[in-house]
Amino acid sequence: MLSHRIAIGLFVVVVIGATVGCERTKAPNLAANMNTASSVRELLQAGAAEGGGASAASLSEPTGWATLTGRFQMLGTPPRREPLTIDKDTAVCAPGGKQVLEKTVIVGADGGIQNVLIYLDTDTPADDPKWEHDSYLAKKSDEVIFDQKDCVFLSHVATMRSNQTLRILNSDPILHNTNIQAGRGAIAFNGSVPSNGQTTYQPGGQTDRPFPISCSVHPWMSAYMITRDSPYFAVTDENGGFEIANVPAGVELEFRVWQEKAGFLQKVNLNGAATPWKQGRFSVSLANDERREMNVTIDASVFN
Amino acid sequence: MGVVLAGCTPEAHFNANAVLMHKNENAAKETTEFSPQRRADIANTLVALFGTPDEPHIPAAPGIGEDDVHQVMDPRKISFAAGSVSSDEQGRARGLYREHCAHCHGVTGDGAGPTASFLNPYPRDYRMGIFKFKSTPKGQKPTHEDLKRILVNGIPGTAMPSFLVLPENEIDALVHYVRYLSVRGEVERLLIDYATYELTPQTEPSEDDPNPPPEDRLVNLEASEEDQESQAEVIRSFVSEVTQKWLDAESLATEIPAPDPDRDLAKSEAHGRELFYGPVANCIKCHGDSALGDGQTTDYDDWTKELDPANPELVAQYQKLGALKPRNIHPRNLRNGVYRGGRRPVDLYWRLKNGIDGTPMPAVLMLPENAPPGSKGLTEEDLWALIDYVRSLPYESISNPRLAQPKPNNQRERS
Repeated sequence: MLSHRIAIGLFVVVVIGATVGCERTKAPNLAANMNTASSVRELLQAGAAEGGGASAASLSEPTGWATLTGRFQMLGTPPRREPLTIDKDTAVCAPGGKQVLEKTVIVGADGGIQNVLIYLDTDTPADDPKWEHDSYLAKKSDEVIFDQKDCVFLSHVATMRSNQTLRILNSDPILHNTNIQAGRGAIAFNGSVPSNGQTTYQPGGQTDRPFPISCSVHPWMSAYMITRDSPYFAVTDENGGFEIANVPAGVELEFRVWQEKAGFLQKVNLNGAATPWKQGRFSVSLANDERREMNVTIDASVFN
Repeated sequence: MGVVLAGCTPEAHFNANAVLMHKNENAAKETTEFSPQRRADIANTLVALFGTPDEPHIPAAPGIGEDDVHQVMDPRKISFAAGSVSSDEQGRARGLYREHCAHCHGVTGDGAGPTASFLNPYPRDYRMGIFKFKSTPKGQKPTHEDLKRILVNGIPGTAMPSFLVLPENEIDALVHYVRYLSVRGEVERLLIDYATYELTPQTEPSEDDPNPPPEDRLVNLEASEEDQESQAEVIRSFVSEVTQKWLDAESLATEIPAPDPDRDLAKSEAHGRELFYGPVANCIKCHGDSALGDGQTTDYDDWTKELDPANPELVAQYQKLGALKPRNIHPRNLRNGVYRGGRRPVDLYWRLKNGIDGTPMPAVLMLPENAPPGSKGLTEEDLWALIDYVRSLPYESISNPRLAQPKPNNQRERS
């Protein structure tokens, strides 16, 4: 009887030990539910044969053109800009030990937030003069310049249309390379650009979100970029202001707003009223020749 | 006892990309939270699409024919490579991936198998869909031949061995399985990013917002049929997108114009040396003045950049979720004569012409056709000269020592 108890006791110890062993090998992930998964598989299989290509939602036709303009302002104390560690080619990149500050959040004297990106998220018909004003059609094959000087990308948040060509310049007397870590939809690129030389990049498609650009020779160099099919995008200037002219009027359009540190801006105050922007999105429908003013204030805590 | 042990053998499962989920939560903390519901949706979707390590499944990809999908991921080859290690009645091997690859690359193909943390460099994480040593331009997938070459030759200077001893059909099956894991991992990333940037997260009611909108679901079987179908459409489009890139790669290998076989090798090497130190190729910028790989040693590869390596606090969080400790990437020491992507001139041609994906190594600047005079860039001849010089580097004396005094001609060795 006693030996029986000991045996049971031992068995319990072994089971506990074994269970503990099992627990340790479990990864910190949630196991799928096999029944749900097989129902999801049925759902995914069912419509798969019908062919891809989501049909574009039918849009009503624009009635004219309008302007979207405004300003982004920070309320409260902006985060401090830290100096970059510059340990290579210092004669060019930080002459005389000059301090160069990072550009994650740049706020002007009266709170204007620089480098906020505003872009149209609605897919609009391509090359359609009803949707694209002559002023854009005329410039659609223009090259976009992306330059670097004193080991700083001169456009910190760059924008281009996905069919345009980016001409990458190097105004420094040293070699750079431009490593474009393109997001989904565009092609990645990493080319060297000799001193006072140039190279070109064609993204080949539009991206949903901004992606980083860096220089491997000088890893502190950093910029962001977005490529879009439509021409309706802007980046705020040093006063936090932006303007997108000749936007299609009479139709509902959805825009997205992004800032490097905060990501898609969600908690904003628009023309005096607290307005949630779901994943940085807002919708507008502008009247012909309207000039829509957007005064956006954002609490500094969003950027910390 | 046997029962207890059998019960303890964990069933093989794919790990979730918890690091990317947490990274996205950090990057977009105002708008993102991976709730248990959201994690379960992603896990269920991945099983629905790709099955499990023991029972893999190949999803349909709308817009791509079944034959083409199977060119990327052949279900028969994949089931041959999947599962636990065994053999059938005819003695044919099963579970090839777990026998040969999983201990380093992990069952998931996340480059985090049990041995991974002991290796330098770490094993490749396939889930980004980025591969270094290949014939295609930057941003494109490797071809079937590219992956096969890596399996057959191994990667000199790393822990990746040659699998030349395996029969051809096993190598072929493993290439398909690696692609399967890579497609699976990349689709998982797209699902995670989609949830991060497109779906409304779960929010607690607050004073400002007493009735927050319900959490958007990636896939919800209780939703209306229409909603379910639009959810399914998004998920299917990710599979098609990634699969198509693998299909496209097969015709994208960079062609190599043959060099002049009668070129004067010494002259070509000397010209290559000038280019190596010159302002256009400027290889010394990273590979160093002596080509020892010491010119730029503070950068990271794309897999490591994802871990915010400059921020120790975040790195510690990612390490807790299974990420390996970040290491800097070093440019190759070109005096060792060890070339990871292969030592043939064609291999070096691809490295220089296309750069190395996922790493800081850029493509050289080629002179565009019909470039105006004075334009900067290399010609094909320059490129071969650089290759000739790089191939001579292991045999070039690093110093040029001179005797302080002439040796007397009656010198004899001391004994």
